[in-house]
Amino acid sequence: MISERETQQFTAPLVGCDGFLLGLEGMMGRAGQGRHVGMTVLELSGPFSFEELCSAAGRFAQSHPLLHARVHRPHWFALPEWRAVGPFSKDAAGVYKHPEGTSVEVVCRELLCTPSSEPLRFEVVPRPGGVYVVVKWLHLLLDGRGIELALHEIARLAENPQEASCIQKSWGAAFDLPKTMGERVQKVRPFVDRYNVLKKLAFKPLGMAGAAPGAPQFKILHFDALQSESIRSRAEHLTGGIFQLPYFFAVVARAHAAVFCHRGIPRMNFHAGAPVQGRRRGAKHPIFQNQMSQFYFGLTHEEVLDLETAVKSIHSQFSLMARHKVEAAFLIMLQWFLRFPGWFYIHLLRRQTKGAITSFFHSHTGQFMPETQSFCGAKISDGWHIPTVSQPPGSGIFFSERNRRLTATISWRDGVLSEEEVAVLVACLKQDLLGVSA
Amino acid sequence: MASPISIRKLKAELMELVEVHLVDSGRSLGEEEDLFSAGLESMGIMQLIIQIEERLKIVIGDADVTRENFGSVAALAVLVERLGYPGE
Repeated sequence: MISERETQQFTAPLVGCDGFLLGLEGMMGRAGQGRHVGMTVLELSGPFSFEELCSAAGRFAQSHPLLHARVHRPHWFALPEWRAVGPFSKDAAGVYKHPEGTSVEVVCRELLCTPSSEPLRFEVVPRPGGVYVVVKWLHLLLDGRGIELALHEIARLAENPQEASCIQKSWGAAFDLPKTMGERVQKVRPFVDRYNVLKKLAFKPLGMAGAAPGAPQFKILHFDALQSESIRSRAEHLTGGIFQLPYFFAVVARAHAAVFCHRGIPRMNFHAGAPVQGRRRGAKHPIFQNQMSQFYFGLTHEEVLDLETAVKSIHSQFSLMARHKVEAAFLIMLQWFLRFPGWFYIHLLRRQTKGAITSFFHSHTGQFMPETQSFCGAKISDGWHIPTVSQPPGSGIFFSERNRRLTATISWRDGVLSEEEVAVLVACLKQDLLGVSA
Repeated sequence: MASPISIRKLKAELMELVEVHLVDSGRSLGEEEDLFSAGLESMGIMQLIIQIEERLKIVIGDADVTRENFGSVAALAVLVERLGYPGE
């Protein structure tokens, strides 16, 4: 029997960076690049229960309306909203098993290239001493920290098999926006000022628009505990030990600069954003929606030549933006753009940047699922994200850490980087991170 | 140098900033407790710096933004006092 509550209609406003993701997905769809998907890999050790995962993922799907929602605009100038109508089936989270001997890399590549009917999809791949669980998710629905919270909740449900599904309000805004229009007008200014400074910086990404859209590609770099410790020491030495964002951003920009140099373009400027996560570790926050804002950084071709100079420049920009509350200003502006069609925001952005949008995508999501030690009976020995990128910019480098071991994911689109260019990018990345030639 | 009463007041004020605005740990923090282990992250530190500067009328330079100075409420109090916190 279906209860009245389960047939209820749910609506949720778009918050945080949802508007940006909506515009980006629209651009990708029109360019034949598919949806903006993310993947997360859990490396599990010890006995794993496939049945527990099926049961927990099914109850999770039945409990979270946003997994079943579509973006809906009540009328042409209205704010778009998520809308879901119950009852909610467990089929929104698909769980599949692969035979022994399957390569996890092949599974990941196939998943990235194949559209899925489910918004959340699990693939279990055996490995010596355990399994990999590969999770594919839609970035429009949730961000990197959101999927970690979702997996934590699924792990909790697996430990409580008697717990029935129950509708959860797992959405809402992690950032507070000013209530009145007057306040918003006043507080949006720092973003406009910041953008006016950055737009003077001429830049290009590695993959421009117009080229035939290639399939998503990735390369994972795992650093052992000793290497990760050495990377942390270098970051602390260059940044004072607290803000690691300037260090990792500078390293990513320099890796891209090395590829431009290899192409015979030694004087390239960089302009890219870095996400500012609204959820705080240890606090109770919504699982769903893109609970992020953005800071925007610029590096001139002179600054990018030297790692220390690049780190200092990013550090001072970070400090300036935080003091002027640019992250809050950016969200106010995005909220205004939500009234326009999704393509409008990206169209304006591309006009301002001559079609480039950004030099690259980048994030460091910090500790990977620090609050979760086991998953469906097995110990989480490692884990990382595999974000995909749109073209433009066609490339991105992402970091996370589990058990004090760093993982870097390099993502690009087929045709943006040659094999030789990937090698150049990796060599520069390793050299900057480890301080030695790779 | 600030009086012992001022130092106690300063630590209480810093504790309030950290607990209310930054770390939703749902429990009281100790003065010597490691703030990074308690969940303090880079954006939180930046907000903390801005709030300390606004409320206590001091300026924290980039060179003072170190893991050591922001490791605990007690360490922060030492930093704030060194930077010329007037006491009242």
